[in-house]
Amino acid sequence: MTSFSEDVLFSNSQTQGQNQFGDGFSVSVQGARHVRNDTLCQDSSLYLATEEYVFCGVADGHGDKKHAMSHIGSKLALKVAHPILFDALRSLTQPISPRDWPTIQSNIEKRIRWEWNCECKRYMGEQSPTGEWTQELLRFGTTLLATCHSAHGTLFFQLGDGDIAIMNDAEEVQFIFDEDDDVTGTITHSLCRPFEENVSKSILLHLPTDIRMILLSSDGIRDCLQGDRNRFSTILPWLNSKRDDDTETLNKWLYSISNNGNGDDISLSIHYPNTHNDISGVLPNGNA
Amino acid sequence: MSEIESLQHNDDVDPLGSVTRSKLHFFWIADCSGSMAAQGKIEALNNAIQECIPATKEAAENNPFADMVVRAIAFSNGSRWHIEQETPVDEFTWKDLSPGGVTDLGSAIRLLSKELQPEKMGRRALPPVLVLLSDGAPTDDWETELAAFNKTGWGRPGRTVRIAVAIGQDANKDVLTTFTGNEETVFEANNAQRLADLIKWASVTLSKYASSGASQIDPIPGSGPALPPPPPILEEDDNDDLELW
Repeated sequence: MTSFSEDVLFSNSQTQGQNQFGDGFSVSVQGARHVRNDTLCQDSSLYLATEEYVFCGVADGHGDKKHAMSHIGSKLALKVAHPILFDALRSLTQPISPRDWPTIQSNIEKRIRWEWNCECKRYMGEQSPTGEWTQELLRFGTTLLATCHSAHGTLFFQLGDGDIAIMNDAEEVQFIFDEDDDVTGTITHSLCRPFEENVSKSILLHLPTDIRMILLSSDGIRDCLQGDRNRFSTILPWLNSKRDDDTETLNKWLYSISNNGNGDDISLSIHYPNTHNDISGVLPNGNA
Repeated sequence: MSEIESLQHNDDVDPLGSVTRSKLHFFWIADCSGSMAAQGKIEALNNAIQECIPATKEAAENNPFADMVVRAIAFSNGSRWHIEQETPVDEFTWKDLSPGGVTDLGSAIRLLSKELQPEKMGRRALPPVLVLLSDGAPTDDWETELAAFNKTGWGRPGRTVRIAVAIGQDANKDVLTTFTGNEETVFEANNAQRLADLIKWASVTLSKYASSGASQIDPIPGSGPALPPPPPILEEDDNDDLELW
């Protein structure tokens, strides 16, 4: 088990862990185009297994000159997301009516935006920042995909492009959220977007016991597959089959995808749930 | 050589067997109405596109992360595909357009709109580049067609890279601005040399810009990252020997 450390997030391109809920890892690989152009990897990822929960997250910094600090913004997104999602998960102990869910969802997004704005301002040197949007925050622009898994269930959150998928024993893959009409092409929702709210998606699930894998991915891999979700879904069984391989092999494979594809950074965060401690049945309290 | 660098030369590492580079869709939308016959404008357009092909191919070869495919629409009395199939830039050739008829821009937009649908293009791709070349004012209901296009998946603001070239003094720049959504992405070509410079810039520089793959967060035209600067107007562009349109 591990506790969160900012050093780990800022100094590592991969994290891993294990606790009573299972084990997993996260990895971010600098894209081939970024290597060629000598630009930073703007993606970040985090896998955190604490005494009480597992957190998986990936964040994709936007990367062009307008978002020159997005490699930091993506790390700060993960830093703020895990306590917020855990708090939310802990408070969602009562049955939730579909009518109440939009408010809960909106509050999660608002809190993440507010805390992320504060963290970015602290990074810029402000001593006691507030979470109001300012122009400088555009430089930190990033997406955020995250999940928090505890005894209370599994809370999924997505703001911007990328995919969250689960796979069961039969290697059947299911995407947690439908594709969003708003994110055609390279357009994406972003934490840095001024005055944008209620564009995230979240859902609380109690996963069936036959779920073997939860995968969060930035858009890097899928965009190397012509954006095809069906093709993308084939990487879950493939990754599962390579579970015992060393991380260096995985990193090489991810880099080769980027190199043969669109050259983008690639980030994954994967959780392999233990088989004996989940509550069976799916309770769709959200909007998937 | 590091292991990462050595992988750059290994095209066989693809366990999924389906990894591909992103497609960059490039559309010429060319006015070939009767007025384009005057003062050699259509010849200049044909020559300019012919001449930019080698530089476009060279630029595409130097971009290992995108595959540029070219199509072209011609409009006058109605519109038609001048190049209908997605043509890899390596195989791209240009057959000369002939002028004649009116300026049915709306028809061209409708034709384009049918292709730029998520069902045909998918949802994830590089922003298509749309280059409109026109010397006049539309003669059909172009506003209705443009409004409809701007509400479709890929036609919605920010999903495409749009520029327009106003060929000669008679081109209606307000119309072209409405098409691109931004007056700063409408460029004037008042002689053959300037037209050639702008066409080469669009084909080489804009295609490179559009294939950067960077995420965009501003769906309002003109509020996103600025386009690369257009080619400077050189002395030779102001050459007195060149006929002004």
